[in-house]
Amino acid sequence: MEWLTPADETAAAEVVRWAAARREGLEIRGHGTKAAIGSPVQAAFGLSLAGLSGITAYDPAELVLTAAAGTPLAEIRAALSAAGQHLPFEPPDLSALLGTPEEGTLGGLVSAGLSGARRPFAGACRDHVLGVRGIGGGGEPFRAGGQVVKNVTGFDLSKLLCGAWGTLAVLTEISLKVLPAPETQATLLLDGLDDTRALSLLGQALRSPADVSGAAHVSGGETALRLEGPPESVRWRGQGLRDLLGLPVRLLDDAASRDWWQRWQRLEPLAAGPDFPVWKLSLVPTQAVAVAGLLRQADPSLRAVYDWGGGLLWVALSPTVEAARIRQAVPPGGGHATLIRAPLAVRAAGGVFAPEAPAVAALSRRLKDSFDPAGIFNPGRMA
Amino acid sequence: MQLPAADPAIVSRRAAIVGALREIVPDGVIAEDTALRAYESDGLSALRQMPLVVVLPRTTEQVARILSYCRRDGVKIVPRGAGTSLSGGSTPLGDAVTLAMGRFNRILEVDLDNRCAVVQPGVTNLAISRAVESDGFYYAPDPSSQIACSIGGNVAENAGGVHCLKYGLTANNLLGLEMVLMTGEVIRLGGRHLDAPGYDLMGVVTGSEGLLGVITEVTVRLLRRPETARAVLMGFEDPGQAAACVAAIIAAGIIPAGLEMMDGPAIRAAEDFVHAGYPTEAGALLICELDGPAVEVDALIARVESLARANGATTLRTSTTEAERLLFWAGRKAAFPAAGRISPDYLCMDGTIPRRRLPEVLARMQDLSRLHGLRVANVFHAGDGNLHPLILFDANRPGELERAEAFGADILRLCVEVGGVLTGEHGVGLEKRDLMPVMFGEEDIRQQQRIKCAFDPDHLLNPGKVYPTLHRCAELGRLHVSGGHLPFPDLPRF
Ligand SMILES: Cc1cc2nc3c(=O)[nH]c(=O)nc-3n(C[C@H](O)[C@H](O)[C@H](O)COP(=O)(O)OP(=O)(O)OC[C@H]3O[C@@H](n4cnc5c(N)ncnc54)[C@H](O)[C@@H]3O)c2cc1C
Ligand SMILES: Cc1cc2nc3c(=O)[nH]c(=O)nc-3n(C[C@H](O)[C@H](O)[C@H](O)COP(=O)(O)OP(=O)(O)OC[C@H]3O[C@@H](n4cnc5c(N)ncnc54)[C@H](O)[C@@H]3O)c2cc1C
Repeated sequence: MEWLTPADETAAAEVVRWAAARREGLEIRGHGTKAAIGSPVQAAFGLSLAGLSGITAYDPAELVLTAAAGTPLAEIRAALSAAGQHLPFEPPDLSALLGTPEEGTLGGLVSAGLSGARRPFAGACRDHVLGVRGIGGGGEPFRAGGQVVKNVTGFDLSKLLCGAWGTLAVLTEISLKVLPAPETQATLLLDGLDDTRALSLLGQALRSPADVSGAAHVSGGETALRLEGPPESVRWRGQGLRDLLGLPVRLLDDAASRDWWQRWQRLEPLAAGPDFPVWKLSLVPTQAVAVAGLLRQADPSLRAVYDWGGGLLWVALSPTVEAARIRQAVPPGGGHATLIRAPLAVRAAGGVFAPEAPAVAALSRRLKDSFDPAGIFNPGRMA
Repeated sequence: MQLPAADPAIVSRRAAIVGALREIVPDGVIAEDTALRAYESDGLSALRQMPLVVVLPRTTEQVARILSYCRRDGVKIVPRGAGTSLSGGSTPLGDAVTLAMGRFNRILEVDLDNRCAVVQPGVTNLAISRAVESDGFYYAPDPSSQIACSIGGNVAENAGGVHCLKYGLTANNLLGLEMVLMTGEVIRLGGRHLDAPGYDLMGVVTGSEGLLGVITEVTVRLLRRPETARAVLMGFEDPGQAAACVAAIIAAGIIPAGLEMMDGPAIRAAEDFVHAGYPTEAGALLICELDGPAVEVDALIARVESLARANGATTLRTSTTEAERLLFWAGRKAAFPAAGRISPDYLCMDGTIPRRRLPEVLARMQDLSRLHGLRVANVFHAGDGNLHPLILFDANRPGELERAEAFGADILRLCVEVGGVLTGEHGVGLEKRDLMPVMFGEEDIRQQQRIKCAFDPDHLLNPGKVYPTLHRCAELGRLHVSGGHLPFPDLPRF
């Protein structure tokens, strides 16, 4: 594969125009840290956005940060933390799981649309994308959305491009809504709970006024509840939660809590162990334990971790369990399963993303054809 | 503002269209002039027009049959919720069926274990919170029209409210939708779980102003009601100080539940109306509400008070009782009717600006006020930079409505000029349609229309709204590219 690395939007648009005219497929990438997710792209040429880099505007009081798509996340995190702010959706760090070098780009993060532990409480990646600049399927540069935190002008094209895995347009610049980082945090840890008991306690905590911002459980391991905010509030809510749970808990202070959730964001409890395929299942929280139970029947050595109070289930299980069997475990209309890590051969066989209902699939196909009529962006990626 | 002209070919087929709709919904077709009158406008009442016919389906299946019929026969459709749109989103068209969702008025399920509710789109915003309040839950987005507006209309407009700085707009509080496509197909997007496996279609449908499909069911996220809420009322000599105070609050890492500003004319109109105890000599008023456990609220209130003092507040009061908190809000919540008391008519505008440009924007708005010879009062979702200038006028005076519209357009151009946008929560509709090119270039608009082409290629849903002209989808689908070699040898490769 030949990689092209334009230094600005104009040159990037030229690459796309060239490819469109020849109907030549392009693999789009930032740093390629997520190249291992999804179906493999079939293209002879690659367009890297790594050359489009740098924060173009950031005024913390406006809660908006704008940066070129190839800007390393490290640079964005550093700028935000210098101003006491953060990305509220807490993107997961899949590098340990995928065995990739650490950093990724902003464009890659947004195109993958991944969100972490705070997602059910603070919103997803797409909830924080305010606007973008991009290049359409004929090589035409365009702008969508805005650079202010509240905007409903026209169709919300930025949301569609977020999580589209680079199959609809190339992103060249992104504006994000950012927020002040909570002053402090603390985590209550419980040990030795089985899945049913743990998830029921997490549900109880989430229905309480404690304003939990992380609710996780490792099957056969720890159960964690995170609280964030001003110190007096975290203390008060922590006491309330202890009373509610009525069980022995270990309390992690600010530093220990940050450390715990950082390891969680790297999915360490799952990354440790044999190199099995890893699936991510989005579920109705109260159905998660039953789904894990069905998967355990398929593979008794299943490793499972629950996030989002049960709304998200990560599993690692034997490659002999077929995709169809895993998807059958999800009740109809009750969620979906995505294959996150698997050998190339398994991914190339398809079935990475959950199949959509026929009418939805047809609509998605019409969108793809409408935005990328020559079919040049990441051919095969979302198949 | 001109309403789109009715197509005589459609109007001449009216009897047949009414007949076809009666076959689908025997007891739900309105075709008599007196009854149709109730539908002749929405919240943008300056624009009036009788719909061709109104149909009130009761089931998703009926909606699907109506859409299939309309597609087959090339009949246009205007979806309608409660008709409170302030941008003309549900303004009827003389050659279109108004598809009113009022009979979809049931709360289907409250699922507190998964903290969500499944409701039909005609349920009012407030009814959802009412249904779960005894359990200590609520639905967060709270547009001022919440007694009347429907959740379906909220989804279509991506409605906001005074609490959306902290809790988000409608888009951020949705879990799932059922909708009918123009093909007559019924699709489900999302559900009680989070995030879609493929493209974020729910994100695109939210805020699409009835141009992409008809929403027939909505699953919303429910939140636990905060233990306490208290508000701080701050008066300043001039809006610049108030704006600096807002910036200081956010820079201190505080995201209040609500952070509202009013300018001098708005303060005085509201105070005359509800006697909330506002400082009538002030040039700007801030209401800052904090919610959460009492210990947190008390700690943050102390910080907000000291920031207010540091920024020159001349009035500073903090609510100590629930009654007092509600009184602080009473004036703000009554700002629209208060404007209605001091002026026969008013237009409510809705632009967003980067907050740091506020003093300059208010000053230039005063210049525009003089230029157009009309008064303006400002209420402002200060936390997120969303302005609501109320332009005061008298429609009975010849030319005043046109002047008010011209003044409004100038304000929105100013918002875009300083880096903001045309609408923060009310939508584009008919009202701001012709201003779209002020904010977006030709290519930007063409990209947005690619979405329309995938959903409704014949442009039958809510035509004439949002986009000044719609490109033919066949034309958008054609590729205009030339060239056959990589034209830049110096491009880095690896
Ligand atoms: C140590 C570490 C810490 C992290 N911490 C954070 C953090 O604090 N905050 C945070 O936000 N994230 C964080 N992440 C998350 C992770 O880095 C992102 O998911 C990453 O940005 C992906 O970028 P990439 O460039 O490697 O993606 P790639 O693998 O290159 O691309 C992912 C997908 O997006 C497509 N794509 C890439 N760029 C574009 C583009 N410009 N236009 C269109 N499509 C495109 C690709 O085709 C591919 O389908 C962290 C990651 C690590 C390793
Ligand atoms: C006094 C007043 C105060 C207001 N305050 C606020 C505020 O604080 N914040 C705010 O955001 N808005 C506010 N609004 C505006 C308005 O209430 C909102 O835009 C609301 O969401 C409209 O809901 P509705 O049910 O009245 O929809 P309608 O006015 O009937 O329709 C609005 C749009 O939605 C479409 N639509 C409606 N139902 C459906 C459906 N089921 N499927 C597909 N499309 C549909 C229509 O075609 C139209 O384009 C206010 C309005 C008034 C009159």
